[in-house]
Amino acid sequence: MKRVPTVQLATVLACSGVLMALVHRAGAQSPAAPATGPSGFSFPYKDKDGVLKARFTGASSTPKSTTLHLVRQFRVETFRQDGIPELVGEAPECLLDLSTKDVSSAGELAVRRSDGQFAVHGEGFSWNHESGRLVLSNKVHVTFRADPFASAAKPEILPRP
Amino acid sequence: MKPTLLPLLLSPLLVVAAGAEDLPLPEGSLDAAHGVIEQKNGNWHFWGDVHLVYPGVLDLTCDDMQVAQAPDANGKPRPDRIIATTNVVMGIVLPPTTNSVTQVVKPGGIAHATAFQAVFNGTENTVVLTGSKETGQPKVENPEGTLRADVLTFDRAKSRFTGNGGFHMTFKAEMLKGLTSKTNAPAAK
Repeated sequence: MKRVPTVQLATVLACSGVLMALVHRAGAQSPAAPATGPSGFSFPYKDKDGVLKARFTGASSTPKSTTLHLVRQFRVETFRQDGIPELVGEAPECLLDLSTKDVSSAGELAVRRSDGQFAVHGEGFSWNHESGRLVLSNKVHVTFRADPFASAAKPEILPRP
Repeated sequence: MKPTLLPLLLSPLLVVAAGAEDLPLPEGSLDAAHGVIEQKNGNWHFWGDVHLVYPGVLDLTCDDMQVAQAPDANGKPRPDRIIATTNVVMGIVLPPTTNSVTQVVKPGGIAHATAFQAVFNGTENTVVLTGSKETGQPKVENPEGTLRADVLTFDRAKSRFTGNGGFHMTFKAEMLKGLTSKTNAPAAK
């Protein structure tokens, strides 16, 4: 049986480990740093095609780690694919994770649709922009202007001409 | 057997008056202890002291409510299915009636419904009330009387309730006044 020299095997394993770590780091792509200055905190979030999906802003921010920021007077605006504003969310203070796009706080959150037809308010929240999931922990209050009891569109069997 | 009630009893609920599309919609509200809003699939879930108010149409409380949205005729999302569960209590504003027999029901009167579950189906345009072993049959009550069945379905387009299974109805004497007053007078001797 042919024996592999111990030193050589250890070197190969170590090198492959370093290589894998580098590959993993390159794949993760650390988020772009937010712009901070006298005018406050600003972080535009674009998709891979460069289309603006959301804009996170705040009066000030305190970095808690490389990706986690404590933002005061937080505001987020989301946009549809065609660039039309969709939602506006505001919170007095929250934690924003730039890598996961998670926003959370034990405080208040107010979200409204840009056309004014829908608004929601709550205390204690967690929101993820990627999944579009908003969890409101307490005192949920929703207002809406669309008639929730009017018929929705009937499913069409044939496509419209 | 699937008895169908005349529209005159426990009639129309959740019917928006004709031409309402031209008027600005009133503001509805929903309060709950907790909630989850799924923006991408349009599903909402609220639980804990849920209270839904749509002025002039409905006042509903329950313990749990799930809302599934679907695009309307203009492509805008709107609730297509609302499932209210556990301790469902509804106050339903009755629209004006055109049936002369039901003049005992004043426009703007309120019918009260209780059920274990109420399912609003926007596509079918129905409201289905069901009970449970613990709560018993769903019940709808208005100034004209009371209706119970294992399953109560309100067809909004036809303004008609359908009771299925264990059907039971009571009505108040005032409802018959309009009918008895038209009885022929006894023949003169």
